[in-house]
Amino acid sequence: MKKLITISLIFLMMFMLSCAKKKTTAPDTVTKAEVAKEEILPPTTDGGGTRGAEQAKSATAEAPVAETSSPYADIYFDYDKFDIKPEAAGTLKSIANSMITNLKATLSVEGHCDERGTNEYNLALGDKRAKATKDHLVSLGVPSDRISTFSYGEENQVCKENAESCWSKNRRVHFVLTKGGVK
Amino acid sequence: MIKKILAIIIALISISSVVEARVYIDITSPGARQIPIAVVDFEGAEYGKQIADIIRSDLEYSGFFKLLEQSSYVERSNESFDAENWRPLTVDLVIKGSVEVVYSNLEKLIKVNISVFDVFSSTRILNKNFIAKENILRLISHKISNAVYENITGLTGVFDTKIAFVVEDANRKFIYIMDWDGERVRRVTDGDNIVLRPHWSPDGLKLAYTFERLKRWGINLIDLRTLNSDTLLISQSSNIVGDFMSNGEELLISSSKRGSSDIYKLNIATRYLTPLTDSNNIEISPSMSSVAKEIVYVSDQDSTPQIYIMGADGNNKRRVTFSGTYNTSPNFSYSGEKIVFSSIIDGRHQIVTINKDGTGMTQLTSNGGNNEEPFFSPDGRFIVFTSDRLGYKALFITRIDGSGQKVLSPNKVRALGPSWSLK
Repeated sequence: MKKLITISLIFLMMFMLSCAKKKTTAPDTVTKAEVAKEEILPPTTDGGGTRGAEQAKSATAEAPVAETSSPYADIYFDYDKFDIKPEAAGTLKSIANSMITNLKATLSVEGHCDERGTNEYNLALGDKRAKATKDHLVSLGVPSDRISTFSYGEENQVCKENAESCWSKNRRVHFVLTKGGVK
Repeated sequence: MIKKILAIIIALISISSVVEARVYIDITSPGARQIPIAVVDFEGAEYGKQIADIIRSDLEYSGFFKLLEQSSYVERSNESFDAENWRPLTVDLVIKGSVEVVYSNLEKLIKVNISVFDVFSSTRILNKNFIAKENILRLISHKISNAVYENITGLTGVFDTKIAFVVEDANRKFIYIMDWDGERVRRVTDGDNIVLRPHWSPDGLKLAYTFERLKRWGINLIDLRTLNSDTLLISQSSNIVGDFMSNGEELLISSSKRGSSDIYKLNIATRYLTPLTDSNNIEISPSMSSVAKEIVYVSDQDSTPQIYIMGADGNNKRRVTFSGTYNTSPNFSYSGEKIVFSSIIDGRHQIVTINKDGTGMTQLTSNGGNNEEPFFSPDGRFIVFTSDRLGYKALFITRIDGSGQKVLSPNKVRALGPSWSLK
């Protein structure tokens, strides 16, 4: 009798263990959130260009209504540097004079970089170039609150070639003067 | 007597648990060989080959497996498994399955059953069922790959994860997402002037990205379930979004609002900014490791841009890279063991990995293009990055050892700024 119990127990154990090994899991269902994510717009074709142009036009129509002009040349910088170069002195002096005599004018100083280097760091470098330029103008007497700065980093290139002749043109600060600017 | 029974029971339990926990390869052992496996086209319905193809690509790219040529298979999925059919082919594991189409509430669903067989012991080691809507066939296949991968290696697979990125056309820039293998490319935003790399929320349901509009830099948060977006911050300073913090409630950002780019934590609900750096130098591009609870970033405080690391509260700042003069675009692996970044070497950007203590610097790319913006997969085994080696910016993928480099983004599409989801 005892032997029978022992053997039965052993077989019971083996049976239970082999059952435990066969994992019959419930079917995996994909969650609702994942399915919902699939209902997304299809990729644009190359024809997206015209639509983009229309949207760009309407965007500029919404810009602040003010007379803008850029009578000043861009000033240029050395690679990975934001120091104002001696060659820029003339342009900066003219700008300062104009701002001092035209009390309503506001100036936007835009910093740009060439396409070398990574996008995020170049945005920071563009900021430094714009800020160095603003500081220089302030030191020439222009009130700080009439100058705003903006960085485009490497996102707004004037030329695309892979050469120093192009890169040097992109390492720039660009001036946008708003006469009688209004917000 | 009872002692004998107990001993036998304990022995049986321990044998069975050893068999259950058996991991077929030891990832940590150096020079672990690739496991030769066979994936047989699944039987039934029209999807059997497609599902098997996806599983084959996933497992092959993982680097753990060597796929046996299908022309040498002698057994089909609808035939029962016979180890004798496989032994001569020197295959360790065989994966087979079947597909069935069912209709439920007028919806077309596919039911997939898969089995993994071990040739040596002639046993089935995995038997699993999956059911899903037919239109997400690829996703289901990737989940099957995950199940097989986890069963054999003990590691969590990443085959069902996604990559978000930026696409440029002539005038506009868009946010897109795609599966990790470059398939199911789909657009998420309507387009902006300029858009920078998007970042995934930890739950995989939202993307945060930087955009420019009317000479202001803004940070948008878009919910992928509804495609509604919310602007968290917008101003004339350069505001750039970085990684989410692991609680999903805060975002790391950089902003030049105080003149020179600094790193902040942005609370999504309150929009409150907490500075983590405060200097006249550039601090930018924060990337966080959830496990290590630390942040890597770029700083030019020692005159050239280098990779630094700090605690999640901005404490304990220290420098990581000391080699090279231009190290930027860092990404911290989820586990915090490795940092990947872009370094200018011999005049070109290359992808480099380094341990967080600054040791083990390894260059992964070396071709003629510029390789930037690297981002780890959640398991740290793959890296997606931007490269212009084809003559225009495109997304590439590589294994962590630099092997398997191939293009991921669609042909001729200008793609950049990739970011890999955790889920």
